[in-house]
Amino acid sequence: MKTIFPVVSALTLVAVTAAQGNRTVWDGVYTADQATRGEKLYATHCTRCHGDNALGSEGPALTGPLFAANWEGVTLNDLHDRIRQTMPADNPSSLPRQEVSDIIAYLLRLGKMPAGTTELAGDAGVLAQIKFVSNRPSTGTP
Amino acid sequence: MRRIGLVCAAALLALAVSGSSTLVAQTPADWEWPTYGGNLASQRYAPLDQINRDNFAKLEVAWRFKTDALGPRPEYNLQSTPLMVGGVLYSTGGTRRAVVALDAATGELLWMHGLNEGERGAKAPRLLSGRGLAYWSDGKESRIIYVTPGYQMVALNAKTGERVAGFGRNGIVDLKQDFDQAVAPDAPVGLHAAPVIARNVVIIGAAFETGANPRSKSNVKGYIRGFDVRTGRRIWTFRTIPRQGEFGYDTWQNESASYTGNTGVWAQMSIDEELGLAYLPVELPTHDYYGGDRPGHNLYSESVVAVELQTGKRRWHYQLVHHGLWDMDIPCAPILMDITVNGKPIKAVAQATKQAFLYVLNRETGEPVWPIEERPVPKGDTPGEWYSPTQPFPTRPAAYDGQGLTIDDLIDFTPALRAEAIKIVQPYRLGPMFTPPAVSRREGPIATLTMGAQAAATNWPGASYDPETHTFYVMSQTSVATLGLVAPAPGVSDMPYHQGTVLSGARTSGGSGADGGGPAVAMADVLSANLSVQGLPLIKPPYSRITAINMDTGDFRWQVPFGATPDNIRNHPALKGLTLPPLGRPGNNNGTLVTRSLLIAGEKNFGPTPSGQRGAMLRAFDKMTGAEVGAVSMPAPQTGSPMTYMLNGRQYLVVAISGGTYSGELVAFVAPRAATQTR
Repeated sequence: MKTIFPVVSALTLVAVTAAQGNRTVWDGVYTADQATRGEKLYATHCTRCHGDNALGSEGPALTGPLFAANWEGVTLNDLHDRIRQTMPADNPSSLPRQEVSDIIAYLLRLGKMPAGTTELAGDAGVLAQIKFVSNRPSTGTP
Repeated sequence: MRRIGLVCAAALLALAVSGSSTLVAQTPADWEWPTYGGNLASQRYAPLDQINRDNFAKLEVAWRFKTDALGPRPEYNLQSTPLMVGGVLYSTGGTRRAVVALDAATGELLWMHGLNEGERGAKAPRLLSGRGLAYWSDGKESRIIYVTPGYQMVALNAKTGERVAGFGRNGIVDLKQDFDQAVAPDAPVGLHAAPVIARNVVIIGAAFETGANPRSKSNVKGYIRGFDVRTGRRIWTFRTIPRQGEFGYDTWQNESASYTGNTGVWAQMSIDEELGLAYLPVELPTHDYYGGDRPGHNLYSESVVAVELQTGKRRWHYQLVHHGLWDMDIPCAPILMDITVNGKPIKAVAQATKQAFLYVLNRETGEPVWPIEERPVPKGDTPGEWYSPTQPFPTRPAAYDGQGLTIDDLIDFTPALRAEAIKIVQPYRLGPMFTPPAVSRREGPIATLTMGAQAAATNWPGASYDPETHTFYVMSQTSVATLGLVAPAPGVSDMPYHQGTVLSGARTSGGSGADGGGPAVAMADVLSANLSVQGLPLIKPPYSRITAINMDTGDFRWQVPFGATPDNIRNHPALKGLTLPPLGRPGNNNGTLVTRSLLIAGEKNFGPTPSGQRGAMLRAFDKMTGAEVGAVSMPAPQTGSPMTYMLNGRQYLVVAISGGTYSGELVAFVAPRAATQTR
């Protein structure tokens, strides 16, 4: 058993790593309706510190080049975890997982990442397969 | 040994402030960092050179200290500058702002003090671990003094971490009491700056919720107070908003001084113990962007005020901005320095700002060292607003970062990017410095766009000063503020405007930004709320820079971009094929440290490191040229300001890091043994 476990773990790691590389925030990972819900949640829980349009106030901007630089290459699960564990600052860990995903959807819309047909789930396994990439990946066509 | 260290540090500290270079030319065997800014002059300077250009890139970690377990959850914005006294390092940390004492050589935890303030702490306006604490000793007894998120001042025995029974009530002074005004227990006033102490007086400022969207034109007033460090008894109060009959009351028309609040000091203060003066950098009054409810120049808002250390009596003041509407505040410690201008020695104070002016005053009299001229400024058109027709403009030194905004300031890597930028700003109001905020309208202007306001140039980390070479160092970021005003949602505020724009969208659940409905979401698809051009900054680089200023002449010694160009800019498809110079990294206005050998500062956000790993660099520069002479990788950005000390023959460099997915940590660097032995 002990000899099998590392092999299985290694294979799992390879599979997860491959899956993680497959999707980015440019692949239509949220819906327009979800972003609208997220905008309302943002106004209730986030505006006070992060400002209108997430441009920053007492808290940092959650859109724009600086935010992009800080989260470049990170999975949405990491971003979700950070928000869920620490926000809102005056009542951390109070937002349901799906509402955190809705807020992320709003932030993606602010970043001009396109909406799609499937909502961004609150499930960690799904979020871990989507990377935040600030520049739209090249399609390979001229 | 400890006693010798203290005496040595105190003597050198006095010399550093006075500007003498006789003794500071020697590297002390032990060098302490006994107050937030390194000394009460806030110079962030140490005469140490064991860490130097020959070994900086080879620095190794001496110890690390994670702050995760100091509160109920990890924190991701550790802003502390620790202190080091007598071989013990003291710092705030954790989400409830605990205090820790660590062995300064190993990082081992010696003691920890935490206070669970319940709702009082959770609902405070300035949360998390704060920026630091203060140390005091009379030679027999030593104390740590800090302010909790819930605005309570706590005195701890520096040796044990136990609260000092004779201070306030069981070691705690409730700062919401004895405030010269009635303050409710849940009033949103607090402080995240470190107290300053001299001549046995602790000086405490006041900070509030962000001032963009106040619930009312009435708020708590940010009075500044002095307390007896032994008992916690309040000794004096300086009223930053004067009462009737006091000097400056006439700068508040329509009796607006009676209800207006804020006007606190949330930044660090500095002290000249010899002159017996404390220097207060005062913030804006209530509402950062609308002043129709407070007509007049509003003394002592956005003023440097010198008060007597032991009485709180005003000696002089200098207002940097009249009737502020730009959230300029005064964001950082005034730096005290002894300079020589045209052969004349001057005891000066230099104030770095968000507006990128360095205001240099005689710290004995408040007179400008170089002329500061009152010049006409644009008048706005916000209904009900009162505008100052002039504002003060320093004639020297030159502004060290962007001010105002014109088409010339926009991105110009390619003609296409410039054209897109012009299209983006077309519905906004542009203009010179002090162009007022605009009421946001669909037909335009959506807002005023400007550099040198809100979060631009210099912020709370402040600057550094080298007393040996009379050189001032400041990091600044070049950024654009969106200054728009909209009506608050019904029932949210008794003020007519909050900060926001019509692009804020259908804000139906409260807060600012509502403008009566309409197709705001569709509009947001057309107009860019974050004002980037295909994800690139709207303005020309450099996005961050360090400026070195010769304080005897007011001339720049040098100015260089700061930080590695981020991947998302360097690899941007619109810039493919272009040879780019160093652009600096957006958003960097971090604290600097100057030593005998180097200028040191870390990057404020994640980006590429030479190894390819996600992280940030701590960088060292030649003090006379700005050339980078070394860099070391960190797993996360610098979020506090670096400090240094010498202990048992070894120089330590400590910096607070955190951000993104990396929780707060203090990291201590040293030069490798072989390198230190060769010196």
